[in-house]
Amino acid sequence: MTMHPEELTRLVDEALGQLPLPRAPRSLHPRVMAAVTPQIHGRPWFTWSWPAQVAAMVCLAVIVTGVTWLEPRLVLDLTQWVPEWMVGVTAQISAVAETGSAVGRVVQVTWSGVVLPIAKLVLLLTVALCTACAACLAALGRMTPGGVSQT
Amino acid sequence: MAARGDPSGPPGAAAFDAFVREYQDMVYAVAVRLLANDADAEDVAQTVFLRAYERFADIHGQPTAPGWLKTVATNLCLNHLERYRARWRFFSELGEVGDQPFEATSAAEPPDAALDAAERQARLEAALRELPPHQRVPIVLFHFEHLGYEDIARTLGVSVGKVKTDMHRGRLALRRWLS
Repeated sequence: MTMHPEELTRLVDEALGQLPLPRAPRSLHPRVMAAVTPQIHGRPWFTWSWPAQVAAMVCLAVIVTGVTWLEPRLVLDLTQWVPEWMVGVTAQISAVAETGSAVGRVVQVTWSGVVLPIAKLVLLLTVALCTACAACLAALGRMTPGGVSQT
Repeated sequence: MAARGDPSGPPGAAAFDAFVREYQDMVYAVAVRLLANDADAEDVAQTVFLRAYERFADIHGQPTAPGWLKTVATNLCLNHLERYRARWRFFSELGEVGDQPFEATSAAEPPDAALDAAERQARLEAALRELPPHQRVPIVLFHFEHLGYEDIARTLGVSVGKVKTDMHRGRLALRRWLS
């Protein structure tokens, strides 16, 4: 039986229009909500953009350095105002602060003497490896299964 | 943007939850009809809603939201099919020579006249899924997404004549399941 194309188009349009809407699987909604939950509650540090990661590290370093250098003076100033029974406690706090200050200096020396000289090399190596990986993934992404390459 | 009725929850969580529930069937339907694969369609639908979440403040409550979702779903599905496009162009060219195997339902047995409407619809839906992509995609875009021939041709990067030819062959394959 032959049918005029326009008549066939009309019949198909009518029949497809009567098809019920496919229902989404029950797993879709939980999957979507699970995927957006980390965005709602905040993402972990290692998933931030690199400027945000660097800024966060700088802020943390400033805070730690400031506390390390300022706390001994603060503790000494506070000892003038505390009762005698707390002097022992403040002495211990002062000792802890001095220890922290010493640790800070050790970290500073380690950073400038050991880490900084090789940091540039490590950075260059990391960038080179990431670039190579990205190039490989881009090349693989352009290949279709079965060995047919898109151009 | 605080979600109404959920003061203790994170901002927007309840509103986005309701948004997903409202549109998940629509988005999934677009994806599953274009891709003819349940798992791929679910992946695409999830990606569509993640994109929607990024722009939720702009699209939530807007009358254009359903259209935006359909457009994103369609584009993601076409991107998904893009990697196979070289293959189904090849098949399509074979089909133009007159090969029948690519009209999957053409070799099927004729439908029983006693089939009820629901069964006939189920078989029509299945027949639509069995069409090769170069026939199924333009048919879905034309009959479900209401795109014109020129828009479909531009979207798929083929000529209008080829779109019409592929769609006609696809419709012929579906004809046996029309009531």
